[in-house]
Amino acid sequence: MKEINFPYGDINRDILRTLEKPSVKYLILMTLVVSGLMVGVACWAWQLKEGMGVAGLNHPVGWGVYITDFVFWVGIGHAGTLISAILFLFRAKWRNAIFRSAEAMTIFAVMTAGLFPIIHVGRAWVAWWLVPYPNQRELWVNFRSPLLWDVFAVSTYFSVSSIFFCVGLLPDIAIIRDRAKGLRRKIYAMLALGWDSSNHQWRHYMAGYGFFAALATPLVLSVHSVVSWDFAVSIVPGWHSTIFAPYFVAGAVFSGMAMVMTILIPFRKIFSLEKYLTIWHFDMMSRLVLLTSSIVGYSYLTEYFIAWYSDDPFEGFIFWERGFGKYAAPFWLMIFCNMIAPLPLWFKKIRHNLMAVFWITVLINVGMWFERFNIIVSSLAQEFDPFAWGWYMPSMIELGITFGSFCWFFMWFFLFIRFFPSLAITEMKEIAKPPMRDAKEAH
Amino acid sequence: MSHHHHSDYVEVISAKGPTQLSGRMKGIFITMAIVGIAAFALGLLVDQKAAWIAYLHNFYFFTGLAAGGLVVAAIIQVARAMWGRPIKRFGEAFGAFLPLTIILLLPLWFFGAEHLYEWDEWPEMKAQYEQMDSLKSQLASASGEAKKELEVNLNMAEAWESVEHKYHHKVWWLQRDFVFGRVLIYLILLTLLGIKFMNLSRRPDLGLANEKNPDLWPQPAGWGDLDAEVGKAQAGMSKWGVLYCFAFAFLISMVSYDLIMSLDFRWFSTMFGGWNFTSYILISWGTLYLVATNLGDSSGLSKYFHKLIYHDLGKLVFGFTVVWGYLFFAQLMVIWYGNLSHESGYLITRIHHDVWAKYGWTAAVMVFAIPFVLGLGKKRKMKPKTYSVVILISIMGLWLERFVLIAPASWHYIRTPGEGEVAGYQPGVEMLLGLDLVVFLGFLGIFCLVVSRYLFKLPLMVISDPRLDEGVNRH
Repeated sequence: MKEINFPYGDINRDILRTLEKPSVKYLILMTLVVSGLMVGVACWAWQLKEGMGVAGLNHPVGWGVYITDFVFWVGIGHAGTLISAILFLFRAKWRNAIFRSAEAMTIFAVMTAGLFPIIHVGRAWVAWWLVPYPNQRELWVNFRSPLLWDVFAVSTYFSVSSIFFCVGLLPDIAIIRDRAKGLRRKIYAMLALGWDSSNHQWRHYMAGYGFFAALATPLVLSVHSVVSWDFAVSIVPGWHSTIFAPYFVAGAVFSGMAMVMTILIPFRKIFSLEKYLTIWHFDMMSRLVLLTSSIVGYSYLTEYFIAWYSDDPFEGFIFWERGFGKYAAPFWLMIFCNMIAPLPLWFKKIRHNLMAVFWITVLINVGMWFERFNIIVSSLAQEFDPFAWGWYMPSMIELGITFGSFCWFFMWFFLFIRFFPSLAITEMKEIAKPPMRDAKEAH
Repeated sequence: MSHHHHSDYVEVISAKGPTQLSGRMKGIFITMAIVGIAAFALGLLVDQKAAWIAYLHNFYFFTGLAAGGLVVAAIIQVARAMWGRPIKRFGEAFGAFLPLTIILLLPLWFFGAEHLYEWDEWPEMKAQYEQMDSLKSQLASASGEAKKELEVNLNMAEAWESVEHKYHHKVWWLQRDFVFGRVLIYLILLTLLGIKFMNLSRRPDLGLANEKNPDLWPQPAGWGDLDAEVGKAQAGMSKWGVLYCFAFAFLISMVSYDLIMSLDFRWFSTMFGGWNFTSYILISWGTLYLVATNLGDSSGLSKYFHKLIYHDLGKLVFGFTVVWGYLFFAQLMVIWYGNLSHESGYLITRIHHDVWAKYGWTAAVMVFAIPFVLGLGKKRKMKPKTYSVVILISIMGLWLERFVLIAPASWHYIRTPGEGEVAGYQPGVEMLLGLDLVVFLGFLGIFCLVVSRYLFKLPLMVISDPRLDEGVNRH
């Protein structure tokens, strides 16, 4: 295959380059994200001290930026498992170069998402009440609430994707172990769990990997479906819609793929990995982005059509207000970023221009954040009774925490590329031309 | 596993020349068609509503299958799938039925609609409403039969008031000529796009076959250099294939809203369109499995179908079975939990009602439970004879599912007193389902005749396709 043209012998060296002594640039970047995270931490600390009043949340909009962030980050966490599990089952070779970083991103995104329910409930020190446990007061969580299903869905997803991720890392960690010295060697030896690349181990590993892929696949669907039901099972106009589950899943994959590309395009440049992350990979990812963008666009249009067709005055009203009411700006931003901005990707020329792809994916990230904002806030602000209407604007504290969450996510990602191979070494070797093949063919 | 390398398929297929359906099969299909048409005609004489329900149901099913077969072929093309190339032509051939759907829509438009769609009565109700004052004054002095009729008319007039008040968009959207005019346009668009894709695909195959055996195969008009023709066709199919896939999703959604969802005009569901076109993809993968199994043997091509092709098709059927289950549940969940009367009524009729619930749940078991459990293993998928039975259950389950979507609304809608009664007796749903099955046979016969007529004039595999070799000789 012409797209795979790196020599076998270079793989270890090139990929493990990110693990070498960090450059000044890396340290500056790291300082920046940690400082950004501190801004978020400070904002949260302020909220804990002062109470929820410092957030813009008030009656009737009880869900605002925090829930938007939660849904956004859970969504970002979808690309990893899609790429690593579903594309593995589909035998799509182009996944081999990107799945490791996408999986890592998934885990950090879910870790980021997990913060928001805790931030959102206000009294974070009793957030463990979310977990059902036997207690002397015989008080149980509300099993009927989709919010609790979220606790299960997200934690299951997190467990399975981290195990999947760690299992996938084993052979590569062993490679680092074999090249490291001193304390580093001891630590990686522990993490490698005694991997010795024997035939026996590989057989079990491959069988296990296949099973995990099959287990993880339905989870890609289930997590965001459950998140969508936080909204859809209620009867709030604009939320109660049967299409929500598949629509949210497609949106999650859409935003996740966009985020993978937003990260990988500069990453490939900084670490000179052009040989491994080729235009072909970004072409393929762009096609997935186009597909999911179309599904999302189909859902937007369907919702509008059915809102009109249903003759339900409340439903029709909300959809009218979304386009032309007080929250029209985020709405049109969402339409532009998610439906219009990806359209140039239909052209090969654009798909092969990584600068253009990069900015398109940035726009998609923005659009997908506003999609959730738009769904959540506009419906709550103008529910059934006009007497109870009210407007919501995010406060600086909420925006600070949101900013901090991006820094938190990138901090983990930067740490990851410093300590683990961000491309899967063994999988890259699988698709590379075996070193002795030429010699054999010459005979 | 050692696998024989095949490189002779171009020669073998082009040496054969265009074929025909065997006389026996032709006889069977024609008999099926005649029986189906006769049953429909008999149905029209006895119980018009039942006959039209059966007609709409099977019309919808086979329209989706025709469009779905093509979409499956387009997916193989667009996804650059090598494995599916040997069977791609079969999927394309389903599209040959598409032009006929345009004609088959017309009887529904001009004769069937009044028996099926409650909204078709609206213009009549409106007319009564416009003369409500005179109705009232006549009623004051009327007696006997005349009084009864006036009362019926007055009821219609009053019902119109509430319809117009509650459903002012639908009153505009759901007018017979408007609805069927739209559907006609959707079907024409689908047909034109489908034919474009089919023509792009068959041209280089016919050209190649003609180069090999000029006596047997006609040369396409304006035939040029083979490589250039193949390159052009492949690029064209990749482009038009994408367009067809998108058009399929959009147009089948719109057809399902207009023809099926509107049967119960009070109900709406944003997932309805997506759910319908996804099920048609499932039906089409399954049908492709059945066709590949049967036609592969009878045409002697099965030696070119790698064993794994059945595994791959089986996995796709399994995958879409899971997606169907997911969509079914996601729709049910939201409606059940929301518990709004205008939504849940639709469900209650289909999963709780004495008459319909058994069909609703049977469909769910046939489409999801059985194919899910029996589709888990690899070995079974690779035994075409065994797995065909599983797939047949799934397809008939989807047929039954469509029956449950379509039949109840019209069945319980009585436009004129006494309608649907046979000699003062209202036949049961079992009778309706029986009639429906015979009409299904008729449609199936016609479908097979049309599709095989198209298919057998062409090389049965896409012999000019550069990816075919990889599909036949898999590693």
